[in-house]
Amino acid sequence: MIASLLAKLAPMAMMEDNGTERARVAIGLLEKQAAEGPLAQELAECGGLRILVQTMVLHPEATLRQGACSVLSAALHEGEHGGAFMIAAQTAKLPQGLMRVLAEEDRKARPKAGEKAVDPDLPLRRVALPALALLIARVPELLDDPATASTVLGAAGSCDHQLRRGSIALALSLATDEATLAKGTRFTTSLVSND
Amino acid sequence: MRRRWPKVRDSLLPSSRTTDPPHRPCYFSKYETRYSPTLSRLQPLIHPIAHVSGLVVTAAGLTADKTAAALLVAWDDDELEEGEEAPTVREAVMHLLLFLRASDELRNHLAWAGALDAVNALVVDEGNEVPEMTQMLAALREWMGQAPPPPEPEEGEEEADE
Repeated sequence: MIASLLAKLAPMAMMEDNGTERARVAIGLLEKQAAEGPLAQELAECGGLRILVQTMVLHPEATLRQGACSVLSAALHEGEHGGAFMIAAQTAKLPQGLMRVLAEEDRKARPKAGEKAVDPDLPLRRVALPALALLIARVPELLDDPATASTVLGAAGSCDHQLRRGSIALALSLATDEATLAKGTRFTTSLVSND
Repeated sequence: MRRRWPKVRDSLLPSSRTTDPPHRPCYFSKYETRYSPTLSRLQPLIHPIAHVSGLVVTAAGLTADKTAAALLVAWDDDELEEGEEAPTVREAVMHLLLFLRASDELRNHLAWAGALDAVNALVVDEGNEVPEMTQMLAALREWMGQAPPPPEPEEGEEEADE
């Protein structure tokens, strides 16, 4: 089931007639499944993380980018993962994908006359930051690459209050001590969550 | 026979080290490869054990200009939104900066970007109402006050600006 939904996100599948529409439905169903039960193990086993990361970073449609990030975030939030999931996540370059999403300059969709400019990727970044915090907590070696901490610090310059607050909270927890990583992660998650 | 961790600063340079020191952190080689020109500056931060805090300080120093700009944006955020609890983003930035004081690069870029003026303005505003805040601001002022004057723009840059 999961594999067939993920297949709809493949670039070739999306180029078919109504391919994008099918991809939207597939992402919606994946989000629903992620909300209802564990998904991480199956995603790791069927190699679905890579296509989700690709969709999150590269897809031209904001809703699909955000949907893919939501599914990945839900999988990360499932609790303790086996080594297979974390290995699959790193093989699929999930940390780099989240960092790229966070590091991108705020996009401003061109508004129609009289409308206020909006950043279509803001919800995506709000999901990506706590997801990155979770990844760092589970794989502290990610901080060996200075780009990780730089991305977290750079997000403090966002025009969004929630992102600023979350990134400073995460950076503070990292700078304070590694022992507080897990605590900081919960703090960040609660700060940035949309609940 | 393997050498021990060198203690003399000059001996930390890659050229003078012939073998790996014992207990060498696994990530050290990455830093050496990518940032060998600044190795002597990085080394005190990641020696002897790779604390996460040291890595954050290192990262802040390596991207000091961008980090300083981002932190200044966060500094201006002094409002709590509905349902939020203290600290404000600015107070959290103050705490964070205290932990990042090991980075001279960050200090310089912060001072050059106007953070020292912002701290001074806050010192005047806050008075002595909150002792902890006053202490933090004093520590930040002292730290940023050590920054050298900003570098003079080169002739080519001046012409380009004009």
